[in-house]
Amino acid sequence: MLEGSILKSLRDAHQPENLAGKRSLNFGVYYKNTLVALCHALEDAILGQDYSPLMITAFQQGKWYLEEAERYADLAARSQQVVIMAAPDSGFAEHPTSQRANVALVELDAADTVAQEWHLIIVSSRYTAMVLCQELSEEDYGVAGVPAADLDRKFYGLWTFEPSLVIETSALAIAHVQRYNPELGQQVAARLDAIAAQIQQQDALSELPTADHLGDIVSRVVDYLQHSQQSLTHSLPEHSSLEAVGLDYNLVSNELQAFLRIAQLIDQTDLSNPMAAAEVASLAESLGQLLDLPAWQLHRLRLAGLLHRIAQLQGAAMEITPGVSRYGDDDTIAPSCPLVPGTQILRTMNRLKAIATILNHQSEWWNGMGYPAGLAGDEIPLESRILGLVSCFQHHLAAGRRSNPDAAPDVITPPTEAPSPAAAAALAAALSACQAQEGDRWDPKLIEALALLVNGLQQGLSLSIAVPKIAAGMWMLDSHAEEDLLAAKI
Amino acid sequence: MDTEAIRTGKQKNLAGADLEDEDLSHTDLSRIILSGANLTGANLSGAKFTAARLDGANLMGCQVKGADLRANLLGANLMQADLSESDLRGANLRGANLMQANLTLTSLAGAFLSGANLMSVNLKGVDLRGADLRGANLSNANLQSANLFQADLRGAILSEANLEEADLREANLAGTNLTGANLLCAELIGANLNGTTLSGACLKGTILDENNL
Repeated sequence: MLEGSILKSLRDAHQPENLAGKRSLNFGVYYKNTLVALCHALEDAILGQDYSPLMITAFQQGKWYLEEAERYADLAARSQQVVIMAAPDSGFAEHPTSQRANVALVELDAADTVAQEWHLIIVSSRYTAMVLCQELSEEDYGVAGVPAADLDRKFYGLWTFEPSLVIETSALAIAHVQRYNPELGQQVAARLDAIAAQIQQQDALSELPTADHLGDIVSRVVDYLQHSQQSLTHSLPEHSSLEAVGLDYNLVSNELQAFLRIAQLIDQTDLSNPMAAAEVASLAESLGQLLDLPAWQLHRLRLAGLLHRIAQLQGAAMEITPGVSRYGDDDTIAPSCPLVPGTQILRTMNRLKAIATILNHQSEWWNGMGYPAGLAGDEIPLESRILGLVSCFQHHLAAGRRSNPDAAPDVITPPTEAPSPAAAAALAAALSACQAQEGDRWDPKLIEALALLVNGLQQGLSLSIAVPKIAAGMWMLDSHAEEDLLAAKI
Repeated sequence: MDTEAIRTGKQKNLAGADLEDEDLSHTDLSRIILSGANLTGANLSGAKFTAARLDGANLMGCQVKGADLRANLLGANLMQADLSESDLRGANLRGANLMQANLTLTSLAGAFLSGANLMSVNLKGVDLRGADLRGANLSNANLQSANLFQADLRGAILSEANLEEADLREANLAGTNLTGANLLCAELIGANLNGTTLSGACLKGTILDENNL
């Protein structure tokens, strides 16, 4: 990692020993096409909205900026301020976009390592996003050397929507700007402070991410990445090269990452239950293991667990009213069943079709009184039944921990030793809350399996609750991902 | 060979049997004994081998796609076998030969692979959580974005292996040879790196516990 680069400064601040209160960074590898698609999607998100963000970017060379300068004119019109760092190139400062009042250019020294980075930072009170990368060096590329084709150029770093991380990085970037232009630096720092204060105020009020168009933003990211994939297939001969396979994998991996990052954001925003996704995923997988489900189904269940709160997005967080079906009985037989809006976002990615169906029906009741389709008994996909039960169980568990902090840290994590009495009591309470609805809301077979699992946990069985490594989620996507779960039953 | 008796479950002990090129696809063969059997070129796709004994069996070039192989495969020969989408969770594959086997979309979580030969094998994005890979030969293997969370890789050979974006959190890498390996953006928080050889390894974007180095 390059000395003096913004990526390195960020990494140093997130070394395990400095991690108190922060998360470890989720680094990933990106091909150039992936980055272009990602940046365009994250940038275009500001065009249709009145976010009025602060944008800070670094182009490796002025010529890359010039290629984007027309687009940047539109982006600048929607922004309060745009700061562009790049090694100067001819025509760089003269372009009309550069002349705009709210566009500031910072001409980087040739020796400045930031000139070898690729940054896009967007900060506003209702939308934050960033891409922060460095290209591989000549030696990193190994024996094959620096690729001749632009297509094969590789970068490493991270992209995210996390407000705290974006603000932290903005401050680092502004400090860098300050070295070149103290006045500009101060002015931009003041803008950042104002935005950060607004975000903090909103966070205190909300349990869901503040970005109000998160669903649209993710759909756009996936759409742009898929578009990049399609043009890849068109531009290459039938027997695609090894590099094209690598790029294709990278694009799909980042489509999945877009969803995992949203799920992560939902967890981070909900301070009352910040580990819900990781915990529900582990519990669901363990329950699946007890039921002796095949490996591919366990992977699918884990992914559904990690993504289960996406169903709450876009006003989808409906109150669960016991015993009341939200839809008329006629709807339940209709061939296209009612859909929870949040899960629709997942359908933008074909390989998440099965996951979308699982999430869509996690709120069905065993007795047919649930929503969205009023399915009953074994009509409800098994994974939906498992996920619904496990997330309800985890919800009770988290509530128990909040009311009794003694139950908190080691409820599920201790290696082979029995949990503390308070933790054991929290497990028992969460289980009996679920048992109270056995036969009405929950499948009795699954309640039985859950009781077995809780028994194991109380006796020292430990589940490792690992927050997912977001760049490495592909193992959960498999050949059954596109299966139509409801059609398979008929 | 009369495979009807096998299919109907009448014949359960087939140690040392010759089943070359036989078709046993989608058959329930749980608890069957096939120790030392010759299954070269057989079609076993979708078959169920739960708790079966296949130790020392020869499955070279076998079609085993989508099979349940949670079985004893100690020292088995699986060279060039198509094991894609098969379930190998907790399988005993100690000392097995998996060279040129197709392992795409398999699950190897908790599998015992100590001393196994996995040279140049493609394990891209495979679930290897908690697998025992002690002393296994994974040189030149492709483990890109594989899940090696809590895997035991003590003394394993991973020289020139591709571990780009792999999850190696809490893995045991004591005495592991990672010479020339690609660890770009791999995550090693909580991993044991005692006596790990990292010379010539690419560590860009790698998340390391510097304390453990």
